[in-house]
Amino acid sequence: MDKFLDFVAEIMNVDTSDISMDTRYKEGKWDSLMMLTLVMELEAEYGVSIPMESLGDVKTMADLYALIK
Amino acid sequence: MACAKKKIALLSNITVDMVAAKLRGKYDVYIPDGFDTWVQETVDPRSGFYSGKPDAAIILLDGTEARSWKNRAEAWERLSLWKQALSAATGNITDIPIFLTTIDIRENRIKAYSERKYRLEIEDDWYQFIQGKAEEKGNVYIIDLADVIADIGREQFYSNKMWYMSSMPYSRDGLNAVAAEIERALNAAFTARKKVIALDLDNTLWGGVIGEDGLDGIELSNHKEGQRYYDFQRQFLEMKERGILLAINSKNNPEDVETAIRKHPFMVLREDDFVSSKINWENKAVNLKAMETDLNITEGGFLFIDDNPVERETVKGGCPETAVPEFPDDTAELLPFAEKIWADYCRPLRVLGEDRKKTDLYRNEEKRRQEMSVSLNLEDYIARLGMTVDIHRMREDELDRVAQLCGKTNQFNLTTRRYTAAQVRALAENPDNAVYAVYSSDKYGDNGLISVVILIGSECGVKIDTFLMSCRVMGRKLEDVIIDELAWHYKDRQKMTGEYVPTEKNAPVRDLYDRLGFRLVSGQSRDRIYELDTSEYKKKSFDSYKEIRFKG
Repeated sequence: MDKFLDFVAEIMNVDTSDISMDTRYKEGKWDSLMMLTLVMELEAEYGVSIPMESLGDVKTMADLYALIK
Repeated sequence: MACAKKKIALLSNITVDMVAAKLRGKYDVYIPDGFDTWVQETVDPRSGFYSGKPDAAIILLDGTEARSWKNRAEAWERLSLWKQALSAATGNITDIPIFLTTIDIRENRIKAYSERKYRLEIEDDWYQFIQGKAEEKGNVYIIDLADVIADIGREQFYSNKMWYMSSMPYSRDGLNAVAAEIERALNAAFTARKKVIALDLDNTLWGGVIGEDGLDGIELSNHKEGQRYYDFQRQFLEMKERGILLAINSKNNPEDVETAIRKHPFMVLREDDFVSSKINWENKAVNLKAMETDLNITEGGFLFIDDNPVERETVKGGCPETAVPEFPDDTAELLPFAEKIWADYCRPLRVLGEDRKKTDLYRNEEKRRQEMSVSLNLEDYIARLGMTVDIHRMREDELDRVAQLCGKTNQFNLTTRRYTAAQVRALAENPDNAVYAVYSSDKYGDNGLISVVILIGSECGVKIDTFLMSCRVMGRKLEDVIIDELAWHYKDRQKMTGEYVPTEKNAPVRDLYDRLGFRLVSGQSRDRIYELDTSEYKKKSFDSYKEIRFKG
């Protein structure tokens, strides 16, 4: 989980302490463009494919994490 | 040296926010708001595309939308719209580079075997159109995006998910490849290219060790295994023909190498293709330093290729500005390795006639240097060379070369004003000004157009706005001849003003105007202004020159 947040922070170019599992979509730097970048990078990093329909339900960082586990 | 980020305008029929994000580290990128507004941007002369005054423009077209085109007629309709947009853009922008892309049409596949497809004809027609623009306009260049896509493969290049989520059809790999390709093009436009490729020989230009395996033992042939090296050499020959200088930096006995280069039936690169050869047992960084002096090219102009990691480290340590790419582990990858070197370090926007002759020019220079070593003094040397100089007003067909020299001359450049072709033309068209092109030649050959002087006329005399000279003809008093002719020609203008604007590289001409008899009038430390009272100018004579032609 920590590794996940570190990775996300790096992609978002923020400090790891600036984000948490409770960080909400559309807050701060996490806009729709960042969502796309995150999906791309997480898929490559974790070797998964995130189905498009599941992204509509992502409200928090924890929701995103659930998709790559 | 810190300088402001270059401004790039990027237009596309897809959403390119993510492409722009990749470029923003190095560039200030403009993209229009809204989806598919690019055509509007090109036709509206007040749009942000034009008003932002970019340093380069890119129009990136994607063929994914073809999946929803209904038929061939719709395809041609879209194509026609795109052509109009491109004609508008290339008509409105004439002074900065515009990059257009080839296209990969993703035609709808629900078709019977017997049905006519249009993908290939559209792609071909599009290419003919943009290539036509590139040939017609001096500032239009093509990024072969379809070739990049073919290399990666559509499966890997595109992402349906990204397309439906963001109107941007690239996968992560696709996005990175597009951004890298655009960056290469921008590097070609804005950064200095490598001038010399210094090559190792054993296990680099051929397989094996010539000193041990002998002429018949090295791997080099025009088929199968030996072809790896044959093909690798061919790439460098192509680069040489486009203005890259080649040199040898090898630990070997010179006699062994000489035999290979002269006698091996499949050696592509021969003696005449190299401008310098250091074949000895010396440290390779020391050899490169010697080449820098011989060729009068700075360390940063070199690229060094060697299969041996120890040698590469030596050069990285001794010549930190020299590019030293990693050598492929698998020698089957030599050809793509050469292609990558070209794309990353050498590929220019355009190759001029002067570039094609460059190796010969430098080889002649070597002969001149030998002449110099037996000359008594500078006058004697100039006389032995049989120098001729021709100074005349720039002609239209010389514009590209003049702009090229403005763009890249560092050492002998008094003001380092990086004029584009369009700017030079504008300066020349003003009747108060004069742009001079200077040629020189001697018994070893024609040096070509090697110096440019731009004079700005006003009521208080003429100002030397730009005075530059190719470094390969420095040290032959050409500058004395040029200024003498101009001062004499503009005698009735009373005063000639010269300027020296220091840069990191133009120290060699710091005291030029002092030496030529100008008087320093301001700027003891930074930008210096000089004056020469031409009203009483006495014409000098240069007896050591064979011929001096001047046409004002």
